Amino acid sequence: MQLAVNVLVLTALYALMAEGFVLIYRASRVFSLAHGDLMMLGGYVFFTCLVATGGNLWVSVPIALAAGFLIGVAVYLAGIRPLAGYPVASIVLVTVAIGILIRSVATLVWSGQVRYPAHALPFKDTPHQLGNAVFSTLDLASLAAALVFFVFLVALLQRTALGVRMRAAAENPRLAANSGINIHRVIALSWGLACFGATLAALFYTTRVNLEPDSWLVGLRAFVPALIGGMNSPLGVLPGALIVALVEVLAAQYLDPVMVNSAPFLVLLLALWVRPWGLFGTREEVVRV
Amino acid sequence: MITERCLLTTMVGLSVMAAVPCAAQEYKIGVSAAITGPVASTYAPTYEGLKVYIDRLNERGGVNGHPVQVVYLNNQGAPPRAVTDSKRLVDEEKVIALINISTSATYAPMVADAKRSNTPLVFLGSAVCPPEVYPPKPEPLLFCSSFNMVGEDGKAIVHFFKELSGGTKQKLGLLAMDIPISRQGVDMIEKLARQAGFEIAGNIAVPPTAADFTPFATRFKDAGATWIAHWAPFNFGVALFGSLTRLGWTGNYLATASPTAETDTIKFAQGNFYVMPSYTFSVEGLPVFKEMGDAAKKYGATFPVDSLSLGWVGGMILEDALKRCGWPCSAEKLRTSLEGVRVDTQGIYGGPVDWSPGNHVRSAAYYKVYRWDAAQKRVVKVKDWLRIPIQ
Amino acid sequence: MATNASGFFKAGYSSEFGFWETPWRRFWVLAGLALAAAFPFFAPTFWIGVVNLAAIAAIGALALNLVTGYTGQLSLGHSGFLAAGAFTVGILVGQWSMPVCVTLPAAIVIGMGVGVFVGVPALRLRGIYLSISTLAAYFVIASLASEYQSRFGGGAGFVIPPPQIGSWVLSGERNWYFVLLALVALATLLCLNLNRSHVGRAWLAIRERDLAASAMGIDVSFYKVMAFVISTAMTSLAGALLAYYTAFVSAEAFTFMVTIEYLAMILIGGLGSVLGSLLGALFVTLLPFLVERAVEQLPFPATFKTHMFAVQSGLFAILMLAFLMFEPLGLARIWGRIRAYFELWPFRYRPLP
Repeated sequence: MQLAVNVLVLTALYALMAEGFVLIYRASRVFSLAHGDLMMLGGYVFFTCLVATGGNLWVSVPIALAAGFLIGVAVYLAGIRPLAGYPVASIVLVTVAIGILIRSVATLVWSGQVRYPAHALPFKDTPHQLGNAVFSTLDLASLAAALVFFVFLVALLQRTALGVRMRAAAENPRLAANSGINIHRVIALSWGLACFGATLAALFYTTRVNLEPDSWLVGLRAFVPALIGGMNSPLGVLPGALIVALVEVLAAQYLDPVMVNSAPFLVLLLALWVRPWGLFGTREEVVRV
Repeated sequence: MITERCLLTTMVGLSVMAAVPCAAQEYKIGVSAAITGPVASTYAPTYEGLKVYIDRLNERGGVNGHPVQVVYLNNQGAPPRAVTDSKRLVDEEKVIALINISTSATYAPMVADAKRSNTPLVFLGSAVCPPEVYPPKPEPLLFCSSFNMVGEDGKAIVHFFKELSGGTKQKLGLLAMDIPISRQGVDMIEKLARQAGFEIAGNIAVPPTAADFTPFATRFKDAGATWIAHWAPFNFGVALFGSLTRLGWTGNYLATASPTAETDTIKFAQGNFYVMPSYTFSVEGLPVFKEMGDAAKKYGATFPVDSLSLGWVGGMILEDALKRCGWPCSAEKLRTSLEGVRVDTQGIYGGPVDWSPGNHVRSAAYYKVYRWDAAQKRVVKVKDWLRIPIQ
Repeated sequence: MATNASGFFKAGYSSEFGFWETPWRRFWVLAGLALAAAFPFFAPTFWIGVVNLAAIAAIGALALNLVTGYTGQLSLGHSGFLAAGAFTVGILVGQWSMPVCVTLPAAIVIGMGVGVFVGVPALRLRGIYLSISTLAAYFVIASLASEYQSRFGGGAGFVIPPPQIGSWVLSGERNWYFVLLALVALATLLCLNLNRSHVGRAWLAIRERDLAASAMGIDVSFYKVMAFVISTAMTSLAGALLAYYTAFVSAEAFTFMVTIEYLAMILIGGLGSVLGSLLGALFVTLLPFLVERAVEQLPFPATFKTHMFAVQSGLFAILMLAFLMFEPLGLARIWGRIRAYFELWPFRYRPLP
């Protein structure tokens, strides 16, 4: 039972982090290696707001999420849009450079100290008992947040005109542009949403573990669930995250915990062998370098 | 074309600016530290402590009337940068002593360059003291004042377990980070604990980039661990402790310390979190901490005062050695005077830092235990100095 | 593959096999080589060391350009292949004290094995999924290396004594410089020849459209695996040289950022260009040091020093961004434009026929 709770919570975390990868890949066909850094930046904004307002969540959370959204849009407009049409590998490297830049700025502004946003929260994270499993308030909050985010995302993509435009721009940018869709605005929106999701993940990751300029390494783990679920499918992230979380928790519990790092990659190798485009992704054309 | 010309001129300009000015009236020391990077939180405070001490020393006129010029290089905890750092310090800057404040992976290149150029190398607040500095016959060029020593830390952990748990049979959990040095340290602690009669409820190595510590916490809890200790970076243990608390675990946690231990212990306000530093926490109000606080404020340290202790002691060691070296001081003379270092740490360490030709680490290691007292709402000392002689 | 801006001068089949088209070009290449050979005699030791590191990186960059620039298979596992070579040396020297004439060939053979291990699954995958499988290969190799080091090695890694052939010990920056210069020259020759031969043309065809290449009769599987095998063998050699040069092997030195650095080298240098790999390797290796020196010369107050390190990495990122944005085809293209300017001068472009 406890294992099930652990798996669910980890799934929520991974799903939120991985969703950003998928959204960005759908929008720009680019593997954003800056995503971990964006997550870290969102976490820092949240922490700063918490400390400045003395633990006021009603103010800090919206500000952090809004900042995350705006940062995502800014990264697209400043870094990715000028490079439209350039080779994919160049753009990937640009995201790496942006990531390094964000990290340097974070170290300059907030220093390399490890921060614990959990201690700035207005409440203590108490454990609750359910059967013979224990979970905490934050666990519940992260599950709820992930659920709400995905419902919102699916509703946006499937039910609204804006969502249709986003999907059109993701599938065939040229045709979408010719059809009168302002693809730059729409792709910027995708980036903003991706970063929004990353900041949401950061809220829960930093309060569970810690926050430092090198938290980006954790964000980078999230691309495995994205790949297993299919880089083209926003909903495929959920089963992908579930599988990875399951493998990690089981590996930690029954196998050598050291395997926790390599286990997701072995699963990934298997998935690539059997079904390279992920569980729910679409078969892709040859991607030129 | 304009862009190319701009780029070309920039590159040429940058390379021309690579001239290094020459100064001959100072003691020149080289430091290669992990100031930024994934492990910076463990080493950067020590770098700042040393820097603050040296800045204050220079403002007071230096040593023997000469200023101490320290070249600080950032290796980010990465071995390739340590390679180029030590080469630069030895070949270009021609320092008379090298200082390493970084991970154990950066030791080998610095040791190689130190030996090649006969420059003494001091491990100051680095990951762990390498075996070459221990008695009876230490490597002549290597010295260590770090606070982590595998064997002695392990003995202290086991000793405190016995004392704090009232000697009853406890189930011990051990946490390592999945890097070679931490795993080897924890394996040694497991061996010592078994010898002392404890039952081991898990020796777990967690990957450095783990997203969630709950699975590992679950494993410890299911194995029935009543006491858990770690031999890994401090924030690692803190993360695990957080997960354990969220699971409702009611055991006790004994953490080996790193420079930021005090600030973090105060933040937790948890009664079952014990910290075992080998230096004194500033909560004891020693006069030396006031000095450190003033200097930190004046010279712009970004880390809180209580994390600067190890760097401060490093500065004391350097001052002592340089004073006895006199002027002019060469690398060879400095090595000899390092062997005679005897620094009273004014209460920061449990005993003096005393080096001798047969012992380049210390004659004994000292450990204290602190924990948060909910009634007094502050960090209190639980156990006073434990002295473990170093053989 | 820069063609001459002022024209095409090959007059017959025999001149196809030559390296230089005109005596003028031969003069410049030989002058460049002479300058490279004279460099260690007037440069400070530290910078010779940096150029040595750049030379080892150049071998790795050449290898990566073979598989990524020429064959079009983006390989994200480069750090793992370097680690494979370095750990081969570490294990052979650490456990059995093998001499360098055994360890270097062993590293190459192990590299070829790894290349097969990575290349065969690559046949089924395309584009980004291929890259991910190489990334997974990197993680597997890195985990194995780390496990080995935890169990058998010292916590701090293996120390490697300098290589010894007979009674001659290779140590000292200058000696290393000449050895590495010779090796880089050999590697460059190998790459240039491969690119000019039927192998290179097959790779180009695969990069453009492997389905069409297969329809034209090129054995795509064979050439793809061959690209991987040759590339990883060369990279493994570079890793082995790195182990000997830095005199120690540690699993923690082979992070994902190393792969990113090599990708930066070939992208900034120019994809698919041998000259680009060399220039890119030099640029990416040298840039952090130049930025450091430049920032040190600027007057900053003493309290800013801690922040200076963050500023340095920030500047490095900005420079990389600037480069990628303003010249995505890399240094080789810039070099090509400079050369064209001088070759065509006083004309701006080749006169129409």
